[in-house]
Amino acid sequence: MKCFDFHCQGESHKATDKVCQDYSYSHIDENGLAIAVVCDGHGGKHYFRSDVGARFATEIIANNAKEFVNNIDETLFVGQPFTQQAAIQTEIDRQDFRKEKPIDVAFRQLFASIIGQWQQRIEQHAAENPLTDKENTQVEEQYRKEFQEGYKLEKIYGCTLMAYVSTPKYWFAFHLGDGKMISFDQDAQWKEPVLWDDRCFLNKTTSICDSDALNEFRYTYQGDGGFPIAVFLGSDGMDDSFGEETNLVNFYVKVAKSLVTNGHDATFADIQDTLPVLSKRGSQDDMSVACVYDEARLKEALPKFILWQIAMTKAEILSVNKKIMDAKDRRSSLELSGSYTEKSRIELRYAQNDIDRGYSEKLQLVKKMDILLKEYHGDAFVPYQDEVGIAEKERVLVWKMEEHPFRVRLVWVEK
Amino acid sequence: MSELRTGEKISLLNGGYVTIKKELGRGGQGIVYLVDMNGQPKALKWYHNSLDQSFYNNLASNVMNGAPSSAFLWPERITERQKGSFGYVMALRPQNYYEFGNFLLAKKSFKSFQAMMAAAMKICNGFMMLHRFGYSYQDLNDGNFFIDPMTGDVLICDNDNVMPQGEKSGIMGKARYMAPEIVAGGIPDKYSDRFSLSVILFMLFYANHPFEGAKVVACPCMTEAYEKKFYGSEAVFIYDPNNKTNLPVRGIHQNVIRRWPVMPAELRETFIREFSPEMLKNPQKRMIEQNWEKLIASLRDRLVICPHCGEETFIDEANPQCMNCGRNVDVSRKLKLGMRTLLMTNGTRLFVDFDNTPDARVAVNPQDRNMLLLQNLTKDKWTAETASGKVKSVEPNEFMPVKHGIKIGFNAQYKGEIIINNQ
Amino acid sequence: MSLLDETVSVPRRTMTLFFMIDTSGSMAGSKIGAVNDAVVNVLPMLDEISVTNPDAEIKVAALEFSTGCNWLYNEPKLASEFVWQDVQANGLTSLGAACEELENKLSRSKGFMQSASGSFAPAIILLSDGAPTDNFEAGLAKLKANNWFKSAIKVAIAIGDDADKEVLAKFTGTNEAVFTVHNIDALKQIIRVVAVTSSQIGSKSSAAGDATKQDQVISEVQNAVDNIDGAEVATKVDGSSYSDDWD
Repeated sequence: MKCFDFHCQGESHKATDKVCQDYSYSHIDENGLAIAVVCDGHGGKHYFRSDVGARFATEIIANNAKEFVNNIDETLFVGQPFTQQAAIQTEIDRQDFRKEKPIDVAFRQLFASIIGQWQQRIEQHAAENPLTDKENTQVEEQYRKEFQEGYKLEKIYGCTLMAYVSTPKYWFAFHLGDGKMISFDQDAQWKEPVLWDDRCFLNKTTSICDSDALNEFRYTYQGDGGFPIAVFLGSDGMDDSFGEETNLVNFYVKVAKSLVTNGHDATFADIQDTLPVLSKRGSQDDMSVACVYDEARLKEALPKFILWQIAMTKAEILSVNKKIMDAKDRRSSLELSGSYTEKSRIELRYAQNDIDRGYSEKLQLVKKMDILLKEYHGDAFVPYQDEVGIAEKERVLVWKMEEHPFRVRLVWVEK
Repeated sequence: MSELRTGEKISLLNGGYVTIKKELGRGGQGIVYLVDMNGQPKALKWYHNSLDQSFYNNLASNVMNGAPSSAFLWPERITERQKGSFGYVMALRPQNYYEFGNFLLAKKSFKSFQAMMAAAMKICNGFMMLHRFGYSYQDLNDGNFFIDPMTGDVLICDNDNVMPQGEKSGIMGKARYMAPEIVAGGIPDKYSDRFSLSVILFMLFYANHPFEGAKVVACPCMTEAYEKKFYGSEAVFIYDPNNKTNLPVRGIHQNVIRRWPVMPAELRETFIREFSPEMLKNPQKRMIEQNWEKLIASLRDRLVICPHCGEETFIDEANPQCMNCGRNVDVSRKLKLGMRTLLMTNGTRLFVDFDNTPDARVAVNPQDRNMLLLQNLTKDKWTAETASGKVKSVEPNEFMPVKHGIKIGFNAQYKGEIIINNQ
Repeated sequence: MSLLDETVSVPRRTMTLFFMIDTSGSMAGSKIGAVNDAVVNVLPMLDEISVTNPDAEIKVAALEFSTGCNWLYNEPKLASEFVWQDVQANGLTSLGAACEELENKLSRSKGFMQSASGSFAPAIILLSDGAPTDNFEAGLAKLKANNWFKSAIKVAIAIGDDADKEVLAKFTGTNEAVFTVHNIDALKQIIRVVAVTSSQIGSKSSAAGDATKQDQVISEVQNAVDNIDGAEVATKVDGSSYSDDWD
């Protein structure tokens, strides 16, 4: 087992001189207890000490998870299949009135201890650290006032949190708020191990500072011998950089492959170089990643990771091909209709645009495909090819005879 | 571990048998099956392991004695010892009842305060009857209670752990519901049950445990040593006015933080007293069930419909503000009933006795909006004597005017008088 | 060696701006002409915001509603590529149907939206000069349950005093987001201001808990409205002090 974690300031925070509000942690101890944590302090003027809140939350989770594992009755976990529990609101929406089991009670105690100790830490921090000069000038009066009155301090320090904990006999994970946790199994299949909370949508998220925070935890556990081979925890700055989730997964696959082929240290160095660049190109937000992985099993799964990428790329190519063919159909039916209304001229232009854009996407995808095929098959790989090709064939105008013997017209055909 | 198959016949003590239909659920002690008994669907709890003869005998005698009240889903028949174990037959739990734990997580909530009060009343009454029968409840926890959120009706399950007082079933309850002296190793009795009752009532009203505050959430894992401390030797009530070390924590104990200030003051005072260090140490001083009943009745007597917002609210007569909209509620119309005072506003239902069914409904006279009427919701005829001495009768479903000085005989036991303050 | 090579795609984030335009009979003439003119002129400005904005690119979609409703194109287009086709006015005011149609498209699986990761909340601009002639309440109720709509910046432009401002306020969720115009120039200016402001604010990264983007848009548009003759916030002075020049 190995682990790493990294967090860095987002591009937009550099511009506004805002500190990094993400925090991350990872550690594996001599007993094989692995812990990875990512906490993301809220942006926004109200949450002006969320960087501190995120650091406290991370430290408390790391400590409490360890104490939990050291004291919990292991039999609660042993033999338990992969089990996911949603946030209470999700259960209400689903009319799920399941019976709480002792293991659920134990998790609630752990989560309550995290919130409780965090509240205590931030209260202490607020008492010991009056408003700084910077805060006095930058924070709106309303929030400064709330701070001085000690009113709902948790808002000022608010953050999201997620953690993965594994022991030799079982593992569990929990999540409160947004960001994405992705796990991989030995077949290089990925999933989000912890259920999503639909209240996290766009820039809205549940939070440790919510009045109902305890009921907002979602968690997953397994004690039947099944373990992920790698788990990645990423703050929302990560997933917001990738749009579709498979793009994020593809990035983690890339990291996983690199861990096998380039080794831990080189990959970690790469992560440190990459995340700031990614923030700039993508979400602009703070970035953090924490990861726990099983080196040996990751190595075994390497070819499967490449195959997964090849399959994904193939699916993308097929979908772009379809877009190109549809646009070509639209174009020819517009050309053949002989209609020259404003609307059909615009439609024709769009069809051509879609074809051009489709081919440029296709070119990128085929390049990607060839890299992956080479990775998988070695230098003897056969470059990717299909009927649609990577560029539109040149077209020429020709006279075409219509069914009516005296009518001919000009049409475009591919050379 | 002994499991039963569909279609298997299990013989009952004193004759007859049940046929296994399917499994309904399983827990630490046993499996519950749907069974057929003489064409009637019933539930059979079947123990994983054969428990000892004294447990069996106790269960058989509980079956013989019958249920103390309708609140109990009581063992109706016990099976013969067979297939390495035994079990007992009880009625099926209806669909509309939800485990108390769902109320604590706010996955289910009472439709009304009226329903909440009905649940509290039913639980008190159940405990009182249990003790009158000479039993004590040994394994009390939130999994034992099932409540209908619409009506507040309660069913108490797992009554196999009910034992004559002074005996110990050997099945320990959850520390969270035990009196400190039991956590420390004592034998449950009616005094410790009374403690459990006040815990259950506190949780019913506030949806939080009375001892779970800052101290308890400090530890990530509840070990036995911690349990002994937090629920036993070092138990501190979260709103103990003289010890603020265990206050509820925002984000965790949100229900009690919200409800504690808005529920009636008498409740606060009673719980502060019942959970004070003195009461924790002196079981004999704990409040008896009858007094809980009286308290709940007096709260219900002041639960009215606010004429401004139409929501239910408890009224403090000294400061008759609606809990929801904050406006003053006119509570000049009252029904005096012995020591009790029932407030009347349009839409309010009155509970004359303690059977949890409303006995009267207050309405507005359609001809004169300023006059309230009282509808007889009971099955009996009321007799009413006006201030001038005329005697009238009010048939079931009929209305009578709410006028100062009218004396109402609801039945032989309950007689009241209408008082209108400014008249 | 970098982790960001050709095999990793980092798409730009997107924000979609929706125009919902009343093309009922009463809009015929100068009003619809002004709308057509204003939108054509604002598109290049949106493109500029899109190109210079590091946070997100802006896409545009337009839904016209009269007797029934119709999308100008069956997908959102980049502001730079959006070719405005002049809309014609005639028929009834099926705002309810338009709400339902918008609801259909405010979805990822069968609609115009992409994954919530990498997307910004959409901005929706509703223009109308009348009152709905269909079951608006039912259509709006469906729309209001939609997560994208809940997060969206929603602004309405009431054209003249016959516009049902209460209906528009129900749509935006607040009457502060309803702006009334009384002449053609004001209409053109307000379309520009609302579209530009919504796009600027809507396509910026923001943080939870601050003034919502909608509130930011409202306050900026309010400031601008003070400088436009013949435009006003629905909640301010009544419109009778202005002369209507629609006929």
